[in-house]
Amino acid sequence: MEINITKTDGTHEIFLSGRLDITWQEPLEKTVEEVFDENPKKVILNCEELTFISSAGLRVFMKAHKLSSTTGIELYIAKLNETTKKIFDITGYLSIFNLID
Amino acid sequence: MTRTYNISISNRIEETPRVTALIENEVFRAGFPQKDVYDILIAVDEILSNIVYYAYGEGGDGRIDVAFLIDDGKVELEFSDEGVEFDPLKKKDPDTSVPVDKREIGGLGIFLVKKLMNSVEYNRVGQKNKLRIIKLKTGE
Repeated sequence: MEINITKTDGTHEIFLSGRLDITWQEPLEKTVEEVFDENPKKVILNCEELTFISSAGLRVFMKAHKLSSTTGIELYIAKLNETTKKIFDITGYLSIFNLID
Repeated sequence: MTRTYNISISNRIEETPRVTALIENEVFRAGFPQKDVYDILIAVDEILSNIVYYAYGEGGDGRIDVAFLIDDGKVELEFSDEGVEFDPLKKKDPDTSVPVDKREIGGLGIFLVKKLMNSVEYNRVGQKNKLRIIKLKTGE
């Protein structure tokens, strides 16, 4: 997969593209921590190009959720597609995140 | 037509893409819809990660054998390891009615496997753990 970040006006957006499987759990977790460390106002995980996600990926999203709760930095998940949304839905992860299109 | 495949890897995360790449190519080539291919790849990712992290203990070396069969209507995969006896199906399903952030940790991977596959079966055979999963082709 690929990870790209854009930073504008206190909003840091992480663009995820490809497959978020076990091989990417650690690298993405590190990226997420770094982004929260920079203390933006808002973090967006953009999933438009994300083709699939396994539980390894869900754990990173959970980590982001916890960081958001402890820091007060807003967290949004943008543009989940049908395949990835299904995984969030089955596991009950859909309801805890703020989703945007 | 039925095709069978075997692939073995050592129990390291960086080895797992060799298995997923082979399965992806062959299942897609056999005419399964993309959606089925993703379901299978997610299940394979969950199962291989479980084996890598738990079967052989911290830093233990071991092998993972994957055998699979593809025919017109289904994919059957069998994962074998010689690690500690472990039946993932005994793990209680996460309670999806409890908010995710208040749930007990663990069990999410195998829960997904059960949800995405049509059949999941565990057997201890001699010194081996064998986990068999079946995915039926989704109708167009």
